Amino acid sequence: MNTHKIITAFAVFALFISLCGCTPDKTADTESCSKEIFAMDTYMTVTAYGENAEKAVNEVLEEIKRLDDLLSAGNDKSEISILNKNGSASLSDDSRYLYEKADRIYRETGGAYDITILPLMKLWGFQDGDPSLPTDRDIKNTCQLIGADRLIYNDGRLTLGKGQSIDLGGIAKGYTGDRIMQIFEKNNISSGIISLGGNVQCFGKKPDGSLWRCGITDPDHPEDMSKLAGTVSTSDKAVITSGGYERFFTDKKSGRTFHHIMDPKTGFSADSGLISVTIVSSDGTLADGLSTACFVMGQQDSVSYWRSHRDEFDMILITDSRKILVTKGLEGVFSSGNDFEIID
Amino acid sequence: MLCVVKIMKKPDIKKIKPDVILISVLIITGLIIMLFVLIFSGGGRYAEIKSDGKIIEKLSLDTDTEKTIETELGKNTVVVENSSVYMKDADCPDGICKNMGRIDKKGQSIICLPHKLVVVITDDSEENTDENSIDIIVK
Amino acid sequence: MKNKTKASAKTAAKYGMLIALALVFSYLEAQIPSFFPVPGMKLGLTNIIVLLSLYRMGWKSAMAVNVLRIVLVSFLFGGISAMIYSLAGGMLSTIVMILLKKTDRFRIVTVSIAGGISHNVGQIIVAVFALNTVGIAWYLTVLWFSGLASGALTGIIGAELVKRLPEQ
Repeated sequence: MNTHKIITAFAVFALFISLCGCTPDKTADTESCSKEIFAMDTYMTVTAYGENAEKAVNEVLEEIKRLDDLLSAGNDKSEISILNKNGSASLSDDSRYLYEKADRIYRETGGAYDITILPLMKLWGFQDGDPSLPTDRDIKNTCQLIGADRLIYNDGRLTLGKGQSIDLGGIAKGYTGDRIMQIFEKNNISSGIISLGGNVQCFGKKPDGSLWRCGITDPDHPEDMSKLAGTVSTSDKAVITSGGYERFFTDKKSGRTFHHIMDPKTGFSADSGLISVTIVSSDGTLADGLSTACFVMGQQDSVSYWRSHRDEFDMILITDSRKILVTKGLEGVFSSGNDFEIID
Repeated sequence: MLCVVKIMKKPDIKKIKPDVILISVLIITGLIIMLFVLIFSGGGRYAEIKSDGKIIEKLSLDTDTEKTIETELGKNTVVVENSSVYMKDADCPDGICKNMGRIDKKGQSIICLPHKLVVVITDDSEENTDENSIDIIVK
Repeated sequence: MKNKTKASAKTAAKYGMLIALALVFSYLEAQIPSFFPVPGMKLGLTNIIVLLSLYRMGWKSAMAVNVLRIVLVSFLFGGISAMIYSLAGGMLSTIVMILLKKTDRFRIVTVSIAGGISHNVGQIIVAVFALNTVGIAWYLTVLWFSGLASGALTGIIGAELVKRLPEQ
């Protein structure tokens, strides 16, 4: 009799584990599903609305895991780690796309975004969470190894220069976002929004037909969700921010503060006059890469770059003096309690 | 039979008292809270009119006005009267928004779904930090 | 020795049943399309389970069942971030109900009503801190009375069930 009870209890329990994960939403006839996952060294959330919401979200989680395994520089078995170890490899489709995009951004921004920056990141210690100021000599020596122009790319095969190693982390999340949008499309999702470690990407509009309101972190109050630099109302776009305030440390001896966005040319934290760069684009991979590149380039060069690519992205720059500059394409969709200037 | 009923009833009454007291206290507390909320949700309020998520108009509840909004989706007439707001007219197919009644409290809204029009009551203090309308934070 | 194992197996089975039932109730509740404008407003059917545990198995069991069911529901229904709200509400509610029951002066319905209200109050307190906004005050009024009503409903049902189940 007792075992009978236990079995019944577990049977009911098991039945529910198999049925559950997502519940039909409150609103009329839209199913919704929202799940969270830890991947690519960060916390990610995925939300979808539509008949196949749950199926889509599960597919998304699988894809995130797949890309994490493929691209993570920290994972020994990833394609990138193996490439770094061997110095040369024939790239998979995903890595090819990523490399070609990274290369384009590298060339067009005068080397501001450089995937060969990994040795420098390791030297500064940002990878293992214990950063410290390296000696000038070490920095100079490590800089010798940097330069994406030394990479040889032929027919899908990438060969690194001597002593070089690459990290696609700067565009991996943006790319993952694009892949997720494709999965949503394939599953006839009506609305969706994701946050991959703070990188936001929206699919369609909100279920009620209004635009997704994305709050931009205030560099001076990054932990305080009630204080924002501004809000972007958008649909079908990636909104990605790079900021010096995210990871930084102060060197006790010199009292100087260094953040994790390296300038490949100087070997030090990019000192470009900007504290935060937000890129808004339908191309997530581009947005991710440009958020770093524009941060390194600084206001003037970023604006020039934007002027010749204004149909590909828009951006919000916050300078060290906390001036907010917004490109023309975001006029009307960017709002803020602070003053800001529209750039054309 | 009647005697049994009478005897049964007496101890019950003694037991009920503390329950009645507690429940009454809880109800009264709830009403007091409601009173506080009503008193403090006055002053400096606006009716924000949003079309497709973008704020296109902001009417102060202190002044009686009538505003017609015409977008490519349709026409709506919003009225502010006696510090409350209602949808006087709309040429949308279902007309549901016209029956949503009067709103006057912060957070309340009238929505015209076919026209993607939303009228919501706000006050200045939460203009930038209105968590309710921010969907996600970009970090 | 034999009696001990029998008893613990029985207890395990009881817990299993109760939690499984709590999950069924949570699932059913989620199926009902919500007419309510306010998040957090629901029937609270799972409270019936907590009442049963409290009145038939003791306060420790009630606490355990409530915590377990909240954690499981959060994991199964994918609302891990919502879990902290449920836990706050659930713990406050269970504590209130345990204390009221101890005084031995109130009927089950009353205890349930107090539990229903404190559940919502607990959730709102966490929300005020988490979202850093005081604009939630309006929700408090609605949820106060909805907690009262759902507490009353589950209390009536719960009381009937407790009467019918001598020592489950």
